Amino acid sequence: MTATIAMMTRPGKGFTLTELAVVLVIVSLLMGGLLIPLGAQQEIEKRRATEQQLNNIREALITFATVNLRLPCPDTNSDGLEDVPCTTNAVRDGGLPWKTMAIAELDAWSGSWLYRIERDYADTATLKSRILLDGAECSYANTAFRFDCIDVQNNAGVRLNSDREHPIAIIYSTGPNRQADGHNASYEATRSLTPTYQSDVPGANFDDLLIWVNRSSLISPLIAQGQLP
Amino acid sequence: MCFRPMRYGQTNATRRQQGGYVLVIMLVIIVTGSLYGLLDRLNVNAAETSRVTATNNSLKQAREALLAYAAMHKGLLPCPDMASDDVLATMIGTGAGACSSNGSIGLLPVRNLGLPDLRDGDGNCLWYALSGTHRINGSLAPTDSTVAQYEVLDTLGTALVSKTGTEKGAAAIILAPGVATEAQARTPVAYKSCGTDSSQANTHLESTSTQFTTGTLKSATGILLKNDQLTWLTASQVWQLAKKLTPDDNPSCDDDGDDCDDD
Repeated sequence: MTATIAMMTRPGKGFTLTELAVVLVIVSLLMGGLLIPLGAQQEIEKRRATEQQLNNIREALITFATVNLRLPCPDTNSDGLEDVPCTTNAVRDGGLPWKTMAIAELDAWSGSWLYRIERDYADTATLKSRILLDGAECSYANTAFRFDCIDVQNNAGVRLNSDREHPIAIIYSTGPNRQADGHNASYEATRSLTPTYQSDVPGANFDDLLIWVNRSSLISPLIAQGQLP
Repeated sequence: MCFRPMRYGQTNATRRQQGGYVLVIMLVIIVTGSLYGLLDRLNVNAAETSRVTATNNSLKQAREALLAYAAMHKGLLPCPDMASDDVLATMIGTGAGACSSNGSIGLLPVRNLGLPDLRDGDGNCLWYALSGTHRINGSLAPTDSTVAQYEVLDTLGTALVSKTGTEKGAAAIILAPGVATEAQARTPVAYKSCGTDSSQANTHLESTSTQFTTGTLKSATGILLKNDQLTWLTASQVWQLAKKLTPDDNPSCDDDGDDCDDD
């Protein structure tokens, strides 16, 4: 009887609030420990996926050039299709013509791909002669090369290409912040203004992922296809 | 599971209630721990796949660029980056233009080849061994009878490229060093853009002679013995490509070009 009264007047003594709080804190820490690496892992995975996509785009551009004897023009009106011609007017940059190339429209952060080419490589009449051009430098003073040669620098401002072997096309993702950073944020049309882009590991002020295609990438495939010499 | 001594007023029913709570909490902890272990394992697998893919992509790009260079230069190839004074301000990747007739090993001259700063899946710069027969500063362009100086073996010692085979040896080998093996004590050089230079080939590559091994080999106790991943250009491949692009200038072509037709 006494026990029954005790149960009625003193409800079952489970854990105290302090005990429950301690357990909840431990469980929260465990869950937090699980979720934080998961978040970081997701970001790393997005970067890996985008790098792989960029490699695929590079391969697709080489295939396009092998089949069509030119690189596709940039998409300047955001319809996913190349806007031709891009060989006569001032050099343009724009989006990657993903529909023309039948590739994925967006990077892992849902940003669009950005794309620029050296215009002689968008022209079937000049692509082969440009590829085989030997002994000349890509400089404003040297008219053997067109004056829209592209430079790529790293975060420290060091050029990553030589005068002669330079990018003929660049493709980049704007990264997690979905905006072009560093040199990629500004546009220079001609060599006299030094069209410069930036590629490096992500840092505090730069998170773009940029790759380029050089002329040597096209030589073996073109020879294999019988398009060269 | 632990049991507390009964307090004043605590009954068997209360203890049963507490036991339920403990079970639920332990279940949460076990499930959380299992999930963590599972995800950690998945991460390790994904990272390994990504590492292998990155290495393969870099090796492939480097090989394409070397093939193109050979095609443009009558079968000759650029010297490795042999400079031991490269600093961040000047970057690696420029061949000195003077490599040995006996063969040279150094870093891949990425800037000469118009390549980005290629790295393997472990973040190492790529290495490059060039047979003296194909060096750009040599006096003669290679011909169809040129035999290159290097051979490639798998980890069991089977020849993948030999000097006596139809491939006529490896004219150039591109090497992804991977992580340091048991025998490699690497000391990163802070002011070098690659953290190393050609003088440290011994601490990055398993072989620096004329025979190179590709693949991973571990001892019975799991110690990493070899892990260089290689790709290469055989003398035969270089010749086939070079003669297609420069038949007129090639000394081995007949005047009518008959010997330089596509195979």
